[in-house]
Amino acid sequence: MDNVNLQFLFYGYAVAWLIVAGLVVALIRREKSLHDQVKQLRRLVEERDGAPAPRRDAEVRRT
Amino acid sequence: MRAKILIAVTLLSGLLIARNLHVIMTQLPDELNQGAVYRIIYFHVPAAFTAMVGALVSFVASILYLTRKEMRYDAMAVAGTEVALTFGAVNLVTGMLWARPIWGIWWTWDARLTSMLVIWLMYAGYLMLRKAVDDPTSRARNAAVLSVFTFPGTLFVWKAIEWFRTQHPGPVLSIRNGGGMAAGMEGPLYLNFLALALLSAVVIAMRMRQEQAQRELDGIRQSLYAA
Repeated sequence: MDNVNLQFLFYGYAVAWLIVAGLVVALIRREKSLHDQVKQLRRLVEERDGAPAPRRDAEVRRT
Repeated sequence: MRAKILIAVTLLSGLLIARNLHVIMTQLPDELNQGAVYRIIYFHVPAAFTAMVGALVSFVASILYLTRKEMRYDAMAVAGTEVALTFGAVNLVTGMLWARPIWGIWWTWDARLTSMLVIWLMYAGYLMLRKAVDDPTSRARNAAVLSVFTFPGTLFVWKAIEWFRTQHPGPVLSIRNGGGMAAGMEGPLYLNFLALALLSAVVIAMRMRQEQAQRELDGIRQSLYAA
């Protein structure tokens, strides 16, 4: 009985954390999608204007 | 500054969960009749509370959107719904994993379990509805109406164990006049709820920012193609 209970306790905690991890992964994927869309728009602006698109201050500081 | 606050709150939530896990696993005794498996309660119940808070956030934000027509409330509503859905799933699945060794069954169609599943499916439907509507204003309005009509079901879930005879245990916690847990065993449950609530606050803040960014990107894309 004790071994079975410990097994279900482990499964319960594992599933709980897997589901929460799924939420975190979904957040990260959405963030990445937003970054990809920004890159795509920047490319569109450069193609249209024939000049590099202005970068945000934070990106300039990183480089 | 905002990012630093979010990181600090996330770290606080993590530390609190780590501390609670230590107490739950090493300091609390096994339950008299259930043995070690009763420790599932320390995520099962806090997850339910967190899901209900997410549902409440979605409900209030939806009403604010319908009255003020500001898109940031729509962002808050979808963020709250995603929290409700995630922690509702945690509650349902941990409940099944607890029920199997204790009741001998994975599931039963009593008032508490059934109503919780129905509410969870309705919030899943909320997200599906949003995917099906392209126009942002219609999407926000339709989703807000669904959220407003779904929330009363959450109150039914809360009261189901008092109104009906259910397989699910009746009120146990002292906040519901249950008196069914030994002294010292309830504290970690509320602390885990606090930790999950802090984590949910961070998730909601991040999702709102992502929704706002998506709206700005959509606006820029429209201007580019129109030019």
